[in-house]
Amino acid sequence: MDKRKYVGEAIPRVEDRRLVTGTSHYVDDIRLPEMLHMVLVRSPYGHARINRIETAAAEAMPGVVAVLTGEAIRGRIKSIPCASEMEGLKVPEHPVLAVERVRYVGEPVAAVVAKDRYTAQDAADRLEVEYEPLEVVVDVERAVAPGAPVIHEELGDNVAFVLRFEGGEALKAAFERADVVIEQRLVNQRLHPVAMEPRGVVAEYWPGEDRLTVWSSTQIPHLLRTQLAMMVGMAEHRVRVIAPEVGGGFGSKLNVYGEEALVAYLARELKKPVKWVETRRENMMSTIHGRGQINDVRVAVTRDGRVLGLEVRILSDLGAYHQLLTPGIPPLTGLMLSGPYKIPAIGYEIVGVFTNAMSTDAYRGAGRPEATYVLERVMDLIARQLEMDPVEVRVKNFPQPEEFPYETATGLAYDSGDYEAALRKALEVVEYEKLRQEQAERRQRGELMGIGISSYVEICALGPSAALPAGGWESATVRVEPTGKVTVLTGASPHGQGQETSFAQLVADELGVPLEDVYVVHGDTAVVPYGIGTFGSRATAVGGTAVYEAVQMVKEKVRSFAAHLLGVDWEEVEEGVGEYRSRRDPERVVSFQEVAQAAYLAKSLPPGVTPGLEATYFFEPSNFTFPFGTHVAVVDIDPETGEVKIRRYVAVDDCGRVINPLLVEGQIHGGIVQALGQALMEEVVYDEWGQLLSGDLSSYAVPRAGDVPWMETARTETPTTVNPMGIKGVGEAGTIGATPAIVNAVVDALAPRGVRHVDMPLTPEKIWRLLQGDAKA
Amino acid sequence: MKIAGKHTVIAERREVWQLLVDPEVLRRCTPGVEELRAAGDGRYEVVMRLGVGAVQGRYEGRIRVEPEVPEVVMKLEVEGRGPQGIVRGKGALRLEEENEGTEITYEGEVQLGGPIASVGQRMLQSTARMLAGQFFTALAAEAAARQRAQATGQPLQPPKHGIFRNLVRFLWSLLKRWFGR
Repeated sequence: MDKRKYVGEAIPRVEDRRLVTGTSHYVDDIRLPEMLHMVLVRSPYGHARINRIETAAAEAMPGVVAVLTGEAIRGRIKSIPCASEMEGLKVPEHPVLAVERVRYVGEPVAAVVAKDRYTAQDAADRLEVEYEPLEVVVDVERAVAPGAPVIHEELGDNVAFVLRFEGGEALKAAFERADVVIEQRLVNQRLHPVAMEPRGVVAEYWPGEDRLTVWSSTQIPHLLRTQLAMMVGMAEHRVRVIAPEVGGGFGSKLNVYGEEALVAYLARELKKPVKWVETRRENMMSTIHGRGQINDVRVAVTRDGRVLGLEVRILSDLGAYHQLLTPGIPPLTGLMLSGPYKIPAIGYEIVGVFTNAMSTDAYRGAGRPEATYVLERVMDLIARQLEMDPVEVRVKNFPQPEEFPYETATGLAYDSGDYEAALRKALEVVEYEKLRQEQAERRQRGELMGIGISSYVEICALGPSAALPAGGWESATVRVEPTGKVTVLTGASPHGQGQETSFAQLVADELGVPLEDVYVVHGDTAVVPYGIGTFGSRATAVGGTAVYEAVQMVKEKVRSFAAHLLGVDWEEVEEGVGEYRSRRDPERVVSFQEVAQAAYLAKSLPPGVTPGLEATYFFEPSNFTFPFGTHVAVVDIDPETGEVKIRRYVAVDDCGRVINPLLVEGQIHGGIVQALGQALMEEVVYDEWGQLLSGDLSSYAVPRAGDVPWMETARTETPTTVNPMGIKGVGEAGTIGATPAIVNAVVDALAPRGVRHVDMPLTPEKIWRLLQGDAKA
Repeated sequence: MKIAGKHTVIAERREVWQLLVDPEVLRRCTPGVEELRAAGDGRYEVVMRLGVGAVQGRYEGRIRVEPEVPEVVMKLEVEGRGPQGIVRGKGALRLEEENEGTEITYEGEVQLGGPIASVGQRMLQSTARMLAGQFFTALAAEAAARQRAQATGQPLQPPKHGIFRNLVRFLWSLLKRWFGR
């Protein structure tokens, strides 16, 4: 009997039809009767005292329902939460509407509610706020220097935390023993996440039932519900959060924002539905930013390229306030500083700094792209200094497959890996030797061609609860309905990753039902058991494992009912596709549907078995997983214009077992594009007055289709030992692996002109200037 | 952001100065001005309609004018706010006699805040230069009108400006300058 099989197949996403035909429902598509609209008045100053807010003119406008200021709602909505915990961490009050002071451009100062959005916007324009500008500090180094303006006076200075991981005697010895010490400053610039769909919130309150329903474009509906209930002072079980279709998040919606609480509060106060949808400019100003680190690196190396020790000082630009995980991101960089290498001694110091800017927080990769960038730039700097091939330096420092689980100096236990295999495969695909020959020839002719390699390991499947601020497990319910249709409830909250497809594949295989009979439900706290959400490349590795475990429990019950109906012991039941047969009497068959119906009609129950066919499982992972891979970029640079053309791009990623290769490839593609954005184009720019100069999509360069090279992807497959399916996770690998590959390629291309390092983004202007400078020298 | 430039008006320095302190003239000559009221003590309240790149809006603001050296140096402070953000600026005008007339040198620092910053900042320099050009071109037209009135004994006919007219005059003066008339 041939068994139907979906897992491992490149099945097109079931989500795609509704997405590409525009028939999906986002927050902005929700329209409720008598719905009011909120518009926010935001600070045009980077740092200022609010002397007076004149609301009368706005309030007097026809159609305006309410005007709220920070002062007016003081104490009614709790501070925007920060979940990160750390010894000595300074956590400033973070009101949903600024009180007395504004600390970044875009900080909400007042909320206007009106019968339609136009009226609300007009009224917001009428609001008069009198500011007294204060000295601004946006540069992290200036913010920690003596005499800098203090952003939160009550906290004394702008240092939010200092986290030290001492390298101790071992590190000291490493630098003493080193033949070569290399030092370099590496800047990981601030980025806008730029999800296609900006944020949005709708809330509706039913006073009779005391029920608040909140639709929000979020990655974490359950965590948001808990936090919102606390912020607006409601019992958690009276609050329902729904994440409808979410148009991308990249970490920017892994948060609890003031607007979410404001809309919830207003709906309850006004007893009418309230809606707020972010504009793109608001999105750039007041949705979290990513990265923002200055890394001063020192590395101790032997003459033959072996790394003995690594020391990094991380200055992290946190912005003006903590959002949900703001102080928790840079420590991930510290944790990952061993990368895919055996580095016997590592020491780091992280200084988290307040600046007059929007908060930084998790952006695709969250701390790991920064670590990978440090290591991969360092590997190339070592190769350059020792005149070795960058491949050789990397291979020399990889741990061998038999050394796993490999324990790093930073205290992690890497589950499994064969780093050299992924690297060799990438070199084979790209035909490395041939490319180096070509490069040598073209260099003779003065042409600028570069090859960049990046080997990475990342930390995924977040994660053991002990290591996370709000639980690291995930939940799943698998329910076979009376008609034999299957409903899967997942606590993960996919928003583009495609788990409606991959989880259906997994469950369809396990139960032997057609794919279209499995419906995956997520993102509604009234329907789905408590879950953690989608971030940290965890949805499949952790959420998928919960689904897998739940479906095993259901299968057991299905077998009991099948055996009961067939009148045999369950050992004597032979499983077919969608049917069960008695081994003793192959003529006796019951269908999956018949079993399902019997379980619900419950006319006759197997001994000790309860009615219904449903199981819920909460999976707690024992460790993180550590996917890895190697990316290779080949670039040509136009010496006339400084423009970088990515000629070849090869990505070999190992994310463990794969449920749907199409989804894996999609994640890699998207990640590479975002990494390319950071490497070549993107940068959040504040001027010295704290004005956001990259505040819209005409001044912030996100890659477009034409900027994206053809991407050649391949895989190696090393299953993890952390979960039964061997899945590691792949959501962020692209942004982690690709950025340094591209930068290394560009620096390699510029090497004959004496360039040793350039900070991102590598814009044509920056490269052109370098080339001009070189010509003059 | 720093802005600077110079412009020549064919008129005596004293005449130019008088034009510069006449609120009616300022109202007529400043591009985009809808209202301009003298509030005494060298302060004016203005309502302007301005467009910088893609960001356009109505700005309400205050201008403070302080004659540092009468007929030679005038200090200016501008503050405006509109739906697209804030504009603040500080600067000085210096008047110098030249063979043909009066050369006006201006320099200052302008700060844009709020949404306008991201779009406006990059175009500020060129926009400011264009607006200043339009202003001084209009001022020259005012001076010419006065001279005409004086020469003919006819009552003064204030010239009409408007953004478009000033722009044409400005471009014309540029052409004349480039092609040496």
